[in-house]
Amino acid sequence: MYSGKGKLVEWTRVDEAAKGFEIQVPYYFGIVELDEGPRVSTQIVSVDNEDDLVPGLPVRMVFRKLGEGHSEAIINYGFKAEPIVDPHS
Amino acid sequence: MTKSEKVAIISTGMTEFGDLYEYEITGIANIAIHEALNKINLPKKEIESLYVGNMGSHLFEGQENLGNLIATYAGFTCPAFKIQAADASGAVAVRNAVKAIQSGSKQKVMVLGVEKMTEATKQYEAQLALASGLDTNWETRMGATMAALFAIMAKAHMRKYGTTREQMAQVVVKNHYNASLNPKAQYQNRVRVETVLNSKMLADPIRLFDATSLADGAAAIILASEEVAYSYDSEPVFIHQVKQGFAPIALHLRDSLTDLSGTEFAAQKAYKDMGISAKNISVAEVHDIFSIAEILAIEALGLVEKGQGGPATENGDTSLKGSIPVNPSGGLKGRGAPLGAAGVAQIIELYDQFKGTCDERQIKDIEYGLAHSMGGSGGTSVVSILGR
Repeated sequence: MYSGKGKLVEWTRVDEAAKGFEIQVPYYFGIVELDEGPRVSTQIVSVDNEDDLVPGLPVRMVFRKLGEGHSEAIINYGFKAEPIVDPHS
Repeated sequence: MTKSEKVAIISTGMTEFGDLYEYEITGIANIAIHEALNKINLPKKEIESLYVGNMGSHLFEGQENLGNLIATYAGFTCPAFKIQAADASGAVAVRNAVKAIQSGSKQKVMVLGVEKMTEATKQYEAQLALASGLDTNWETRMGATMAALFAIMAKAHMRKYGTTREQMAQVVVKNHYNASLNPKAQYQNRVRVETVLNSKMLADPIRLFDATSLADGAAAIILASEEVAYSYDSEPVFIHQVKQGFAPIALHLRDSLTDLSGTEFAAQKAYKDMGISAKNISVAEVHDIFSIAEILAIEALGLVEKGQGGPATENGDTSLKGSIPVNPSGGLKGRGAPLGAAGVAQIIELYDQFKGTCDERQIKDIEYGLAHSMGGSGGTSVVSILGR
């Protein structure tokens, strides 16, 4: 079982979207290391201030709608990461 | 290594790289194929196998069964097949052709690297085709692009070694300069650091001018065993080593964001089997799919120390007149990056450098030349060493 928590390893701000992510630009994308060890590639959401995004930042994985190509396309769901603003909460 | 394991390049042929709208894929293939055959008056029936390196004909044009297609329209009847390893397709095709000669089963084979990318903007989706070399489920569907992954590597490299945005731009300035001396290059224009820094952002800190662009092109080489090579060339250029290195396809599965471990493995194995070190390399053609990729590559190849890729570029060490010239052809950035053709074109540039036919971009007193090709964000790496 995974706790759904981890830390940001590295990130970027994407201005030229991947196919299906056009309506979300600019978006944050990065690599997260889960507390249990494995790493994943993921979007980073609920970012209030880009300056908060530093390696080691605690994040939690959340369930979200992933990219959608157009209005009639199948909607994909999956995980994204959001910063844990107060790690003690 | 015993002498008989060397494989000779006995001829080459290549199109210009760029927007070749007037030809379809078989058309550009034919230009390269026939140039290579005609240079040495070699009848087609003497080619025993045709290795076609191509990344995305199925996505760019909806065409597969490419080996047979190319053979049909070129007039070959020998076994022909496509080898696909993302951007490293051409280099992996070269490696398999070299192995066929080394095994003794073939005497003369052709490698054709070819890519027709400019049709995609009209009919297919180029971005999706380019991203197909990544891990679709675990990267692309999570929002990754090629630029985003190299941006992450760039940021990690900047953080760890202090590499600067300007140093990355210097890679582009150098490669455009070299390309301006290469008549077959896609880009003949020189650029300034400011041009790069003011271009459109793709994924911070990667900008449009850090990236390669869509191009059409074909590059062919004819390989032969050492025994028969001297019938065609009294001073052959040999491929001494072709090593392939592995790293996981997804960047997040790799131990390091700043080390191209597959490239390091391939390079070290090549140097070791050759009994040389990186110091014996006089010129290198490396996989500059983005500017940061050249910095990562020259470090992984041991041409500069770890962390010195940026400063070495800034100091001019990798320029035509520097201590280790990198991408004299203009690289993927300047000469152009028709993906499957790129790895074969690197071999042709080194061949031309050994033959002394590179005019203003000629490197003098070459001991060994190195070619480095990479697939995706660095999962597949191929390192070749050429010499006399």
